[in-house]
Amino acid sequence: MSQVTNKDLCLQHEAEQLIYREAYLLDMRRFDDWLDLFSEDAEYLIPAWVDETTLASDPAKELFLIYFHDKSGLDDRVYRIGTRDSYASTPMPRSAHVVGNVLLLAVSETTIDASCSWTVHQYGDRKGARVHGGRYDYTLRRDDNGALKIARKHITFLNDRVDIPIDIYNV
Amino acid sequence: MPDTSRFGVNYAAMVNDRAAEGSFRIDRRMYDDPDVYETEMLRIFEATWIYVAHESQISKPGDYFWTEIGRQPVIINRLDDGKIGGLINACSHRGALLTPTRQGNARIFVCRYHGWTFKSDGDCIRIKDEAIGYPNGIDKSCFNLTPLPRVENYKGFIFASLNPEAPALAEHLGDSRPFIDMLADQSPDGMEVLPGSSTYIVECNWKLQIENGVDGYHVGIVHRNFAQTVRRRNELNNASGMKLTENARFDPGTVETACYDLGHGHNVIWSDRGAPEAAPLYEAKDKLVPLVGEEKWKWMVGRGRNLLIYPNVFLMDQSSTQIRVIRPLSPSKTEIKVFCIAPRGESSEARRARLNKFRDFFLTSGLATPDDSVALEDTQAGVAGRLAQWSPFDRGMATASVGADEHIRELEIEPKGRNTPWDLETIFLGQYRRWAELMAVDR
Repeated sequence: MSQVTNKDLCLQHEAEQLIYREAYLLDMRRFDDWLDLFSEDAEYLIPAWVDETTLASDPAKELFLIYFHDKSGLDDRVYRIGTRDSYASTPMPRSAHVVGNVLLLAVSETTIDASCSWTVHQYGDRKGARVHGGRYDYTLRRDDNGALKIARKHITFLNDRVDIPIDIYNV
Repeated sequence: MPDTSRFGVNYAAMVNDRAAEGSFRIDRRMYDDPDVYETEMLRIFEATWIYVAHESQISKPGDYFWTEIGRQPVIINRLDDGKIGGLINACSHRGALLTPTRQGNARIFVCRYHGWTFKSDGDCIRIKDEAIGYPNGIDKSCFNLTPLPRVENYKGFIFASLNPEAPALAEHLGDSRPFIDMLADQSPDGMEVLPGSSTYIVECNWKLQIENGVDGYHVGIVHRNFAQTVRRRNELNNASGMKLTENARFDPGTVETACYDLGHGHNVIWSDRGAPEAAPLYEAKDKLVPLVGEEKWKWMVGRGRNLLIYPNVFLMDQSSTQIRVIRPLSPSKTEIKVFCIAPRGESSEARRARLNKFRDFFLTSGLATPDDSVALEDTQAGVAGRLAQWSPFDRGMATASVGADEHIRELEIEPKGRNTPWDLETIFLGQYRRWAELMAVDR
């Protein structure tokens, strides 16, 4: 293994801080700040399972639980929650995201591909406590101002049978 | 009236049908009573026809699909001769499931417990250590798997029944058939279920689920925020690739709508589309009109439809095209499996739009179904309030009538009830009369 440089450590730290911040802002229900973490063209994907071991890979041909080709889809979700008129999201369940094992898979001049595992602990009055988990695969990209943004978030959701509604705040 | 009770419960009395006097109500006990549920499994789910799979899910010999009829695990598979088979999914030896996965391909089933082996039609062909266990020989056909009494295919939609005396499927489907055809005939090459599915559990009785899928009344309330979100998206011009057609149904009175009780518990509700030319199917116009005729084409592309085939499947052609399969798990728990069904050979642009709209509305991770699910869970919790015993289904009785209207005259069907607008509740009389009818047959 090659020697770890300060630059590697800085990138690891920077990527982790962004990923943790995203989880934090979701749990704090600071959705507008959460949206700011994404680039305008950010892709957001949660594929359905095609069979016991295969995830859907093409949102134009196969079923995805959520697929947004840019940030406007996330914006829709935040707007809908903000209407306070969604039966499923009012009152909102409480949540705690735990993100770990953050591994940088590829680094280029402007992008970082990072993979990590996640769990979300959720509690709501009607259903009680629920835990779900899976993997986040991120592409983080530096914008023109040098800020690192989420350009792609691919969520592997382990369950293919759920008993609570799934939305941006509990995956 | 014959005594059709089990456990001392008179089911007929739970449907208080005084429609002639303008009143129809049901006893809310039927939503959470374990004895009612047990009887429903016997007299409804294990007695009538149950939707099990679409033929595109078992297209090649050996393809199998594992699902359930009532409480019973079943295999639906494609046999070597191309016919569709059906078996109880349990080894004849100790009863272990024979399918390692929900869907797969197996020319033989090898039990993973003791290794007994069966042909795809259920014939037992190997007993491990047969000569040791049965030194005097054994007729292995004694150990063939148990076939499903009835399996039939209507235009690609496969139904099965555990009841050998069930009527012919065509008779059971009855007046729902033209509405099935409107989906089944959308491509000369047939329809296909797209890869991937979503399964979710709602803590409500199965009957609340099947009410909800043809309940136009809740749309303007529960899905108000969906309509608002979509309206804003359109204003912001963020709806690229959506092929939006559906907004009209969220604006009551702007388009024609109606609901029909089709008999045997089947219901359909429909609403004219605001912009049918934007529907993914529209590109097939020149190909389909010569095949199906102008009238049927108008139904296919011009009207969004929710069809309930009682008791366990919705075929929906609304914003997108969906098979929604309902499976009771307990009196207060129901599993829902959703599949996207699409015309074979459609353009990639239309396919993309179909999937975009499917995700938007139909999934438990979408913008609408979660709100339905939680509303139904609140209803389930509420019906435990025993002192409030009855749910009324008489809203709209003053305008309800029987037989065909001008919209369906060419379909040559005779609805048992019809009403307009689509959100009147008289179609539920069909569901609950069928319930009472099936629950009255001792099994």
